[in-house]
Amino acid sequence: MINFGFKQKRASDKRLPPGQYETRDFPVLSKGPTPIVPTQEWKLKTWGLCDEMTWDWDKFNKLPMTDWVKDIHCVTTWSKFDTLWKGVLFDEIIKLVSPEEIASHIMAHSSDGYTTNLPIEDLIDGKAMIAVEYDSEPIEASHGGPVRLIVPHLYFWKSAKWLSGIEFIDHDEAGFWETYGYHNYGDPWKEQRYDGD
Amino acid sequence: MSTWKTATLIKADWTAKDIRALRFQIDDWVRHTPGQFCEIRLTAPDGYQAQRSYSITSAPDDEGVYEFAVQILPDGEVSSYLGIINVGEQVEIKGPLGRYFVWDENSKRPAILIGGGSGMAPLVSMARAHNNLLLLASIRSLEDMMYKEELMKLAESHDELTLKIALTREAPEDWSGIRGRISKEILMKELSEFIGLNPIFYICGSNGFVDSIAMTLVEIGFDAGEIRTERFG
Repeated sequence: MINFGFKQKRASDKRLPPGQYETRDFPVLSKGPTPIVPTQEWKLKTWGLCDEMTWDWDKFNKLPMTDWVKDIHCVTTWSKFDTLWKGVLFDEIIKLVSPEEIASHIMAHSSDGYTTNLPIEDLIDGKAMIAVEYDSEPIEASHGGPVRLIVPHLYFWKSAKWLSGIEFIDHDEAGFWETYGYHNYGDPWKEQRYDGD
Repeated sequence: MSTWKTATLIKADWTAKDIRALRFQIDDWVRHTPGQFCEIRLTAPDGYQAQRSYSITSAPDDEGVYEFAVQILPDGEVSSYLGIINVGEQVEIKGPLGRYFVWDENSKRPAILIGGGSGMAPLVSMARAHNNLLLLASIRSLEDMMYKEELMKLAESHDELTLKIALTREAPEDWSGIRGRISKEILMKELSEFIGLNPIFYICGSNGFVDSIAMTLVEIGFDAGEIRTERFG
């Protein structure tokens, strides 16, 4: 089917996954009200098939930090290039909590009850980070501050905002959006937006 | 649900300033739940494709069709085409999609719908399948309100649907509705009868609008977990 009269307005770019367009804005999308988590109240816990640990803001900021410049891709079709993040690589967390061999996935938990599932395979070897800064500033609440997960190679709903917990599990289990019709894995290069894609 | 279907335009109207109501006949139509959306995809003669999400505004009982209220943006890649598409022409759609920002018509819980501007779209589908709803619309002026006459008539003829309109920039002199933005005081007044009734909230509009309303509702004492939001752009 051809839509005569429709023509490309947005720039093409090899960096754009199929069906995406580049934005210079940073749109906000979330399921409900924005949680406000002051840094002095923030905690990150790990549990499940790993050593249980808890970090508060000061303790977390003492971990080795990395700077990242990444392209991010939202399922609602916008992509943003060269976003700058600073945080702790997920590999560092793995070193500290020693997940059991049978642990295959995590469920990431956010302060507002949001969850999203990820294979551990997709979080190691520099593929994921727990970020404390965006664009050299503290992360704004609407963008998931003070701390959020960043997994740039998957659709950005997998990059859980307001990260408060990481649960190590031995099976895959649908998180919040995955239960509500979004794809279980979410590879933007395969356009895995919705359940059944 | 995950395949592209053909949609043929059967009716087009300007339902508000810059908002075009487009009614499509859908191949392999499936009944939707109010609040759901579709992806609309266009293909240019050179093969370039673009897709965007639009909320379904039609009532679930409208068989064989979906209607969308598209805000036509001057630099919108997809919307500028939808502003000129003619009856008889086709697009591809995927859907209905979305299972969270949806309202179950069989639910007995009161629902409070708060929409800003084009954010009214998913709420219109809920209102058209009316039943125990309060719809609070926030718009700059009356000419910016989608489906204005129809919604006013629906509210007039159905006890269980209540419509309140806030005009934030320009109101007629004899305006008896809300003037200015929906403030905490206005929310407290309009929602006083719902406190303790465990309503479910659906808020849709721009990010600033949604955040401000949602935060105020939590301040008033409503449970954050019962507030569902959809943010446009």
